[in-house]
Amino acid sequence: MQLKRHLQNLDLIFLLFLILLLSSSLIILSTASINIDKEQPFHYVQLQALWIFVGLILTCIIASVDYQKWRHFSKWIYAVNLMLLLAVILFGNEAKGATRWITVTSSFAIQPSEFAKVFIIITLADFLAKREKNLNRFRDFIAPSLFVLIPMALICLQPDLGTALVFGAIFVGMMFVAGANPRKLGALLLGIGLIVGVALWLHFAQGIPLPLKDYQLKRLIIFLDPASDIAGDGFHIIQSIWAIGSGGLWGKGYRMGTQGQLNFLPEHHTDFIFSVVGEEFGFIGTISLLFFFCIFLLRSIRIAVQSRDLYGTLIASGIISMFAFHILVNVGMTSGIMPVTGIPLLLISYGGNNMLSNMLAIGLLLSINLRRQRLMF
Amino acid sequence: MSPYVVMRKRIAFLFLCVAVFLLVLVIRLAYVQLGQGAGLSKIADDTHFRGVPVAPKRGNIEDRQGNVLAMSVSSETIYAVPAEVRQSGRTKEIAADLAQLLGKTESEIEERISKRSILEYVQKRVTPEIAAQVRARKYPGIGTTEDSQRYYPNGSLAAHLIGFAGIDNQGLEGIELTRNQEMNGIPGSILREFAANGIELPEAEHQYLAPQQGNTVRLTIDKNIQAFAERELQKIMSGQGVNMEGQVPKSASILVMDPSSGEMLAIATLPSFDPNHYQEYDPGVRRNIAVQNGYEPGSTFKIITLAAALEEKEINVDSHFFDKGFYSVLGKNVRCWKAGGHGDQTFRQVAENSCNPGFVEMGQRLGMDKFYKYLQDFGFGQKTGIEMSGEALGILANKKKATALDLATMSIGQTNNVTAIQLLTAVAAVANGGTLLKPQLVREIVDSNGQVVTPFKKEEVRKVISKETSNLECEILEGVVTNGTGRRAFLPGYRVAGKTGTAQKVVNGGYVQGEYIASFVSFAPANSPRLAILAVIDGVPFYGGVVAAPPVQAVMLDSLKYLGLKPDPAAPLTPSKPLPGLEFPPVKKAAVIPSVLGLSLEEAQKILNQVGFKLETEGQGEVVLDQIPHGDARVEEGSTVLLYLGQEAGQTAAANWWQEEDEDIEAIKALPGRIPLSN
Repeated sequence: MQLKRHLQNLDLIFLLFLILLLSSSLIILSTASINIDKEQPFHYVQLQALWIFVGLILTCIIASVDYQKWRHFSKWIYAVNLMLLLAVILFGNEAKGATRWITVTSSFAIQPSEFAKVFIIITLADFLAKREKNLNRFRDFIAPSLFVLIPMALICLQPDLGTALVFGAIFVGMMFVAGANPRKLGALLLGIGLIVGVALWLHFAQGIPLPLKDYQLKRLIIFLDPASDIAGDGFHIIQSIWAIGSGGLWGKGYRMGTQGQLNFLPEHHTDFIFSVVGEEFGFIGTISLLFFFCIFLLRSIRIAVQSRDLYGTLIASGIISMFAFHILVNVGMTSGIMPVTGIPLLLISYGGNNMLSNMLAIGLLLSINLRRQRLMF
Repeated sequence: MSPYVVMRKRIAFLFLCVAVFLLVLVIRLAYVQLGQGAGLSKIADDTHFRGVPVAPKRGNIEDRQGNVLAMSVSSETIYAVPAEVRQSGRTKEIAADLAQLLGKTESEIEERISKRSILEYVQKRVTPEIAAQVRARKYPGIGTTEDSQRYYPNGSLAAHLIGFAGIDNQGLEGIELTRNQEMNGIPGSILREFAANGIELPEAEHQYLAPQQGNTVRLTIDKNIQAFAERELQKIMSGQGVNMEGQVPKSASILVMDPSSGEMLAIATLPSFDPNHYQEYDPGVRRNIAVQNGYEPGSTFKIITLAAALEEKEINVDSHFFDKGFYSVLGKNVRCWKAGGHGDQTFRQVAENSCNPGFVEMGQRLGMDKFYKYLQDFGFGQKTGIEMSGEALGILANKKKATALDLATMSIGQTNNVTAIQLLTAVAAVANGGTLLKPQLVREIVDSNGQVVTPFKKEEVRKVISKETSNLECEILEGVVTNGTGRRAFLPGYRVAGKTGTAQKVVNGGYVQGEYIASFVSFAPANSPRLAILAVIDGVPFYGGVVAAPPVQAVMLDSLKYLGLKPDPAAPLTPSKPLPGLEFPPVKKAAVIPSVLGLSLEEAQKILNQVGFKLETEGQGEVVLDQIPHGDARVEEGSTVLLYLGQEAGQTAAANWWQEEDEDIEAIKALPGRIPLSN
């Protein structure tokens, strides 16, 4: 009976836009990925459908569980999270210069950093909820910062700068909502920005080494002037901008794109899938997709606001921060105004771990939604 | 405020941040997709459409009559798409076979077809047969495309003007260079679609863009007149020049211009080269000395001095001048070429006699300022603007430092350095009524449909002298040929004007003894000039009137006949004073000699006998290389025609040239060596 009462709370618009986004993913993948393996053109679409299916089951399970239950396991979740991230570094497989996966079977590998994002949201929410109203001084920031910095450092070791930055976004969003003194939080961000700025200046002007490999740094700043290395690091960005730009208003049509279909566009089924949208569906397509995301985020915020407790609000805020960061950085990257950091497009890019991690988060959102407070405004 | 409200506000603020960011993204996408869309779309296409270029046919170069001087003949080019070759895994096999077909080494071919590039040329200029064989092999990634190759059907004819084009049909010298763009056309291409890995897409779009064929450049040059000039040069350069005693000069050129329009009808220079094999020649041979080299013109320049003196009314042709045999300037004597001087004479006679003191007098009367004004106005020391790269400026003595002695020597054509084209252009201005024209080489540009794209436009530089001065001087210069030093250029029945010149060569700042630049400038008919001709022979121990006048005479006669100019009944048939050994006996009953040039002795004999002429032959051989008098000359009936046969042609029975005196050489005999250019 309780579940039935909860179901009356279900945000149908949120659900509708979730379904819209997931369907978009399959449609876009059905054009973006058909030319990757000519033998099996629908390989990636089928797999993605499988991940969505498994993800939806996961969502239902998580949604049906009262999210408050996870508070009791916070320490365990945090510990398991760290262990998984350590395991990646110790036993992970290396691919493209980074160690991110733990192979389970030959065709399936776990990417703990994807799940770490959700785990950190749940545990940090608990951590911050306990410190409500005690986040006014700088020294109050130390404990939460360390809380996030430890898994972040492990992810940086892989190296996976993009995901590490997601942690930063989650941290800032949740701290802010948890009531951290906004001036001091702003000062902290400004301070970090200053340090990064000075470090970059020292590196370029004085030759002081940074804790980044040269190619990593170059990849991060190449978006400022992609034409300086057309054949190298600028290639991704330029191809992506050409693809998006050549779509014009209406796009070249489904499967009519050339940059994506002819494999000029790298990673066009994962990180650069948005470029395929731009090329084949034009400005209309990209704007529509952004509209879906916008509504999706709005409804998520509604869920956060309507949460019956601070813990739920914080979890939702963390998830919103994570989602927003993924959308903004990915679209910014493909359209050439943000660094190339290898962050997939929320719910659209192909990828099992990413999909499951996002569906896990959506399960949490729904769990909060179902158990929201009924206030009379 | 309750903490709850604070929290809600903060969430709202977070969303505001996100919304602002989303807006930035929308603006960025609008900019990229709507603002730059079309341009980026083209770039995107370019990255995967790869054109195999189809070369346009380079336009021809033709003479003014439409005779082809340079043309493009089809050839084929073999290219490779290395990515496709590599993918087939047959690189070695293909390289081995192509090497055999093309006569190259296997490693060379292999390197080409496996290069890391999009498209690589394997071999250019392949015969159609070999190209067909290559096509028949159907090797992956190997193809052929049509190309063209430059061919000069007349060999070395007008080679310096036409220039030549290199292996990629790019103009390197001459008109080929200056009109490169117009003749080139726009390449077309066969567009083929390729994927990122360089493999051509099966069933992909193929598009053929037809090349736009190049335009034809029609020159002002007349192939026949050019050939007349080159024929005369050939005689000179092979040691058969008239009065040359078998000597071979360093170089020689003959320029023919239409003085009324500035169109160059011929610019011939020897030694020359064959543009079909230009690589085999020394670059020095490819130099167009008529435009790129300067020389001291000597007496031919007196035409300019006379024009200036007449225009400024410094002299009256009928006033008298006494030549005592030399003219003293600043304590130095400029000698007259005639020992003892010409004595009392009118200025008309001064001109006809080419009397040095008389011309020095003209220069002194003009003064430095006016003299330099005319130097400028006639275009000396400046480029004429003829369409040839590397045109020389010539060198004028520095006006600020020039002395009266410099003025004296400049008046008779010494000291200053001019180019042949400058001198001819200036003389043409005297001949055409006083207007300096830009000498031009291109008559019109014609597109591939035969439509004239750029028509000829006469370009007047400036009016230099009046019509009256011009007429008067033409008359005087006609007298030089009929009565004076230019009698070797006399043509019975035509009114020819002209002037001789002998310049001593300047080496290391001093004159070289016994080595001259002999020249002769002439135009006809004197009353309405159609042709102006200058011959310059460099590096001979002979005078201009002796060796340079005869080739001008020959080219003039042939060209006048070729242009259809009938002999003028009013024109004299003999010079008033015969030259020693060059007799023009009085005519009793005139008859016209037919030209038998190029005919066999037997045929010539038959023709001449029919009209009642006697004939003498000189030399060994079967072919008539030259005849005296020339064809169409009106001579006494039944007179003797001298035919030069075979190799011995070109020698005339003229008197020993050294028995004559040359005004230019005499002028500087008393001068202490070289008068340095004062700059």
